[in-house]
Amino acid sequence: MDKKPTYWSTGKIGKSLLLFMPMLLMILLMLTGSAKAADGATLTALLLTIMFFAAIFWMIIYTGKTDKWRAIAFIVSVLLFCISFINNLIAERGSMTFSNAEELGCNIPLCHIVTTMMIIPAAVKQTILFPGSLVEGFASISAMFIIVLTFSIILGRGFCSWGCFYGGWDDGASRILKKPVIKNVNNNCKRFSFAMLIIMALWSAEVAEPTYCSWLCPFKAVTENERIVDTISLIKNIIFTITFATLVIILPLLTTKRIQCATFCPMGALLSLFNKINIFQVKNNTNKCIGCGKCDKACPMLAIEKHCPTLTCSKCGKCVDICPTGSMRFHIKGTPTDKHATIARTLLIYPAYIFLVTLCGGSVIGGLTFIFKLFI
Amino acid sequence: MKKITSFLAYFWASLGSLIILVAFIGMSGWQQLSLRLPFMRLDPQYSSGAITDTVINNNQTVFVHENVFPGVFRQSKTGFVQLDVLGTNIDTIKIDSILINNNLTSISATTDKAKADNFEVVSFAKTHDKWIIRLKVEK
Repeated sequence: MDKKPTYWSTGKIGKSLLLFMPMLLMILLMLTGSAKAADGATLTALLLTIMFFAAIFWMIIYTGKTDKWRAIAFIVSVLLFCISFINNLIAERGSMTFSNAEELGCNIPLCHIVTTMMIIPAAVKQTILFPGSLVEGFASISAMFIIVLTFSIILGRGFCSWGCFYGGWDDGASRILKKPVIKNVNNNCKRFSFAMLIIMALWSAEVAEPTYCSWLCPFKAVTENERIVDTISLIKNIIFTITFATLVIILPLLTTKRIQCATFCPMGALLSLFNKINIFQVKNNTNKCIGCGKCDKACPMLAIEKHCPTLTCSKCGKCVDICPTGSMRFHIKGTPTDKHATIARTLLIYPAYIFLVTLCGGSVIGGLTFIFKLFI
Repeated sequence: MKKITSFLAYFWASLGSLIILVAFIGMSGWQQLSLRLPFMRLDPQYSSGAITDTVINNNQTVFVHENVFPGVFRQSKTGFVQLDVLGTNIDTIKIDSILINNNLTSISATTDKAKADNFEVVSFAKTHDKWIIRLKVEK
């Protein structure tokens, strides 16, 4: 068996520092702007957040393991995002639900998944079908549009493993058990997300409302949902709870796969299409591959078929870490497959990590501040 | 040729971090720029459309929006007209012959014509600075 190669900086403090220092500067640059209030709790949270993200990146560089450390940053960010988001909603509205006032006043924060349901109205009617603010407030339509478009062009479906502030839920649930209870999940299940994309886009255009958000989204259970005022809103909330429990917690737990992200999320399907034009990819060097099948079994997104990553790869790096020969690796399209592993990996994880830190850093600080104030 | 392709690929890949940084740091500027995109406007179903009339009573100003019939491929037969009511200590809202009481539990028409039109409140809400009322309209 070929020996697995290591990266240029793996296990070497000096070389790791060279790759780490620019990121440390960027973490400081992007996070220090997030702390507006200068009270003790916020400053402590800011300091801890900077140390946390810096330490994780150091481990990614120094150990040469991508997925293990990415997942820690990703899952912690997502959990604290939800705490911070719900806390902000309660502070502003007194509840994590939204009422007619928020909807009629166009004050609903835009979630990136809505993008899939905005495509047809934007193309046909040239309007945005969502009760949010165009520019002002948290998660405005224009801000989310820029964020999603930028990241999609740079990293394609990497968004699902490096930026999505929901993905960490089922990423976390899929890691609780080491061995799956339900084995052999059919890889074809991932094609259902493309069906979801088409169905949701057409259904939303037909009834003129973002239907996935109104009726199906599992993450409504842990962020913002409709106030229960009648039977319909009660049914919607029951559906949100059921989809969250089954698709985000129970099935990922039993299968060790990210079932919601891989099979149900229409946004994931849309981002997969961006993978086609995206320069970063995970590639298997078939000359070195021994066909052990570890990558097929490990991939949480059901994206690997016959040892080769497909369109739905989220660039989490799990297969790269687990490959015993190093044939599976991060790759830049148009460059040689068997050379410059460190350059390809570094060029991918830098924008991905900056994105994660910037998008979720403020929420991590907010979430930590809330926890400090709660207990201290 | 391979070397040129490789160089261009690495160059484009190395721009990734820079583009992400520029996108976040210049966000407010990009947001303003994005408003120039032809589709970057709220659907009247949510923005409630243009204001077509303004009614000023003693202590309230009512902005009447255009009729909106939601739909992407085709307009629905029933729609709504939105009224934005601004004022202090509002007990009742009076627009022409329509009278709406302060808790919006009832709506009464004071003339035969309005009664015949059978007004129906689709949805309503009170925000920090105004009341928003949507009345059902049919084609």
